Amino acid sequence: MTCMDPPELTDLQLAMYLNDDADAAIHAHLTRCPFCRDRAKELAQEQNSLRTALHRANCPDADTLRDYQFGLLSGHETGLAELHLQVCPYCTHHVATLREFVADLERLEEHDVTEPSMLRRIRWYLANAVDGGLRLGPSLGGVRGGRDESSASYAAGGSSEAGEGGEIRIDTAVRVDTKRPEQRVLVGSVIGPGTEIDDVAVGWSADLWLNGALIASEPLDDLYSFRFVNLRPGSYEIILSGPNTKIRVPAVAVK
Amino acid sequence: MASDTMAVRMDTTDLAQYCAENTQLFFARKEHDDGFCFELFRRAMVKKAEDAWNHLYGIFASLTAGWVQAHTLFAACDEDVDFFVNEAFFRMARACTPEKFPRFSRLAQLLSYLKACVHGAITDHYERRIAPFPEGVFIDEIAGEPVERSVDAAVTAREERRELWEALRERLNGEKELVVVESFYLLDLKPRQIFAAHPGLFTDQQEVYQIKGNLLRRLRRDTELQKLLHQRD
Repeated sequence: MTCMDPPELTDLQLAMYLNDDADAAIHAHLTRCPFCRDRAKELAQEQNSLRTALHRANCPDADTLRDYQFGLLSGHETGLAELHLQVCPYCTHHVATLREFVADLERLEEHDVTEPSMLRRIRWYLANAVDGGLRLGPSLGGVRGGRDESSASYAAGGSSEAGEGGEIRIDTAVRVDTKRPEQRVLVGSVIGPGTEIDDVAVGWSADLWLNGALIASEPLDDLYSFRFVNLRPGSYEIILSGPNTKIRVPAVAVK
Repeated sequence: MASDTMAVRMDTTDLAQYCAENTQLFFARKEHDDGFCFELFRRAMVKKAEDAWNHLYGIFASLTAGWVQAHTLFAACDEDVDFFVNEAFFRMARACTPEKFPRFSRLAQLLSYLKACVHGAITDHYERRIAPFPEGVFIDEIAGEPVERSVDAAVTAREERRELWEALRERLNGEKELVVVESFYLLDLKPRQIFAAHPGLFTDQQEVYQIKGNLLRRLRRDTELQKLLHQRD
């Protein structure tokens, strides 16, 4: 068999397709060409195989993450854990849900257990729904069309948590995808301390979780906004990760 | 607490009795004294006294069972409550060493730690037995046609994956390859996320794809690594 529509797609183009970076021309080619489709499947199988063989191979175990949360690791171990938490959505989710699970009981105070020279740097927040209208930034207003189904705002931090004072606010809106009405688009933006320290939203990302599973992960754009598409109705969690900041929004309703 | 001195001198069985009584007072929102339970924990964890552990289990098992049932993943685990109660106590016994114990100064902190052991027990079980791989890891279709899963998605111990990762890491050249492999294959991040998270490291997103592609071609020719990989299929 050969390509039905030469030139055949390159390995790079196939890789872009598998990672949602392909343009319409690549999508169209794969729809028409069984040869390139088979090559894409082989590449997908290889990717699946490597990912399952290596999934979270370098992640600390649950006991280590627990001891990180309780400030029981050494300074060096804490530093390693935090380096890992900067990049790993799975361990971030684990610690964020652990914090919420034990929130009703007393935690160890940091000054009781942490070596002074290695105070933990990551700040963890749990966002709560707030009343008040949705303030849509220009980036949210420009999202591909659809009517708003719902909007909600969440707040995290405040003087006792953020340290420097102030509050982190997350605005979200759910829209119907006009081309696929059974699906939804969830957009949001982050406003507040931490996001304003840097001039650009470097290193911020939004992870979308459903029933304990990571559904999607997207970097925030220059205006600290995120967008998730092709969503079914459900109650999602969002974890926003920035340099030394983690914010969990535990229940975002997509109806 | 006034009880501290008294508790230290008490027989373990009597201590457990006072602990149980004060725990009931706590649940009844009446004035209570944590010192007896705290001393019981100390004997269990610092002196490794088995009778103290048995008493702690008797007193706090039902509280722990309530935590298990309240955990969001418990219902999906297809295990009974006692399994996780036992596992939580086991984890606490293993983790709370004589060196760590002095860092706890109040009973509420110890109970919080026990509750955290519940979280670890349930999430580990869920990841190992129920959902070892998030569905987002797999690509299941190409232009509407299914992709056959070549790897059995049954339980694969994290220790085995770690060994494979160590073997793979030895074959990587430089920080860029390490970041790409770790981010893409271990943490399931996409190239655009990898670029966004490390903007000073990569020129652009295309570079991430190039590094990934070059590495994959090299690994396909690595017979030893392929043997390791396919032993697992």
